[in-house]
Amino acid sequence: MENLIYVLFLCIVTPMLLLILLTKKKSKLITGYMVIGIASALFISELNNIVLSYLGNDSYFVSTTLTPITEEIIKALPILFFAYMFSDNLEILLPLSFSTGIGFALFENMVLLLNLNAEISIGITAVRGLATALMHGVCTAAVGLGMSYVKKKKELFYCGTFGLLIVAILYHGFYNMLVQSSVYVLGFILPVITYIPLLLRQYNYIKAKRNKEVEHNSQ
Amino acid sequence: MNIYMISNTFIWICSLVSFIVGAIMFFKPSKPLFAKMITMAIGCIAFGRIFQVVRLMTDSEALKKFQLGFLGVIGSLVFLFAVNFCIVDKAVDDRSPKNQKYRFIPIVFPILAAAFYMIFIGFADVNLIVKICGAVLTLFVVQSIYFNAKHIFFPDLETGVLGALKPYNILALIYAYLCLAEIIALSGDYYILDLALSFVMGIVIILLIPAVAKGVKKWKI
Repeated sequence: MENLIYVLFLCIVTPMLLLILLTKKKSKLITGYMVIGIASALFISELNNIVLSYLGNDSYFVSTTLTPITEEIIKALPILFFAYMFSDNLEILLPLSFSTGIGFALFENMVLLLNLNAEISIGITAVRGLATALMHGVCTAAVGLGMSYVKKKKELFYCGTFGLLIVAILYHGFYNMLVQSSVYVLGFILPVITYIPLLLRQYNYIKAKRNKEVEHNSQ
Repeated sequence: MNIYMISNTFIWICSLVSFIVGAIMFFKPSKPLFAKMITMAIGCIAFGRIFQVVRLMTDSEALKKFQLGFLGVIGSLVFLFAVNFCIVDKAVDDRSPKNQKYRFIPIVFPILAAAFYMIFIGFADVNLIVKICGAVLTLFVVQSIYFNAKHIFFPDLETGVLGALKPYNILALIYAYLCLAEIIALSGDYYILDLALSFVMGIVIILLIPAVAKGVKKWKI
């Protein structure tokens, strides 16, 4: 089917848009940014197909060199927009950034696995689903995390934003390179390792917030 | 292990050590922002170089095409430029007419860099990707080295910061020129030159942190 990718996009996004209408502010934002991540993935898949056709279908070179650049820039743009126009509060930016990355990974995985077709197994799907979701989430979360700090220091804003994008692009390039090499296991482990500090940070933040509430209530 | 892997590995090790030392020394609230930014520049170098090393493990001819590790070099130059332009220059240059000549003299350095590019890459028989990458690199190099050169010559009788930062500015200037020389060596497959350049670059990167520490002691602005 020719426009399967668009059919897939509508199937995923339509229920999410209906959900946005019923949710409160923070949930609305997170779901909305997930939709933006999915839309970014659709845009990028078309862009990557054009680039691939110009480069003689050298998919290894495109996936390890060009797609990290295009994907990270496109994913970072909504986060930069939010941080610049609305708020650079880390507690809002971090889940929004992660949500954008997850939305992107969600759509990318579905398109890729549809193309693999006969070669799909539950194992491949589970590993790919986890690793790619974490990788995209962590990359975009790094941009969001950095933006919360960078925006406060004017001197750091432009070079800091550029630096963050470079870190995200290189990390993404690493992942794409490793998963296509003989040490693909390392590629799948890498996002898990980098997700752990994020998880710990969030756990500590929630714990501190609860302790503060308990103290406040006891007073 | 080919020559490019050796050279990139050496630079990676030097920049990683330098970054770790810099992070321990300067990533504290009381330390000036410029020291943190220089450490982040070194972090960009380390991250870019490790990418090149891993990429070369998968394909020893990888550096003949554009690779993402190149962005690590660009990132480092962006940070070094921002340090001088956004922080140091604003603190030491009052834009008065009496210092005009010290703003013009350093122009020689970026012109020299641009000339190197034109002679060895721009007008040379190299492929288009190298010419484009070289042009982009030269753009970032000239921005960075102008301010490094300016702060070497600029008189700073009031704060004395530029005197303390002179070693840093000299090293950053050398680093920027080495980046340009490296791409020239890569374009012509001059392996031995690339190895020699990487050795010097590694030493320069290692020396950056002690040079910055000297400036930090004097930074009271």
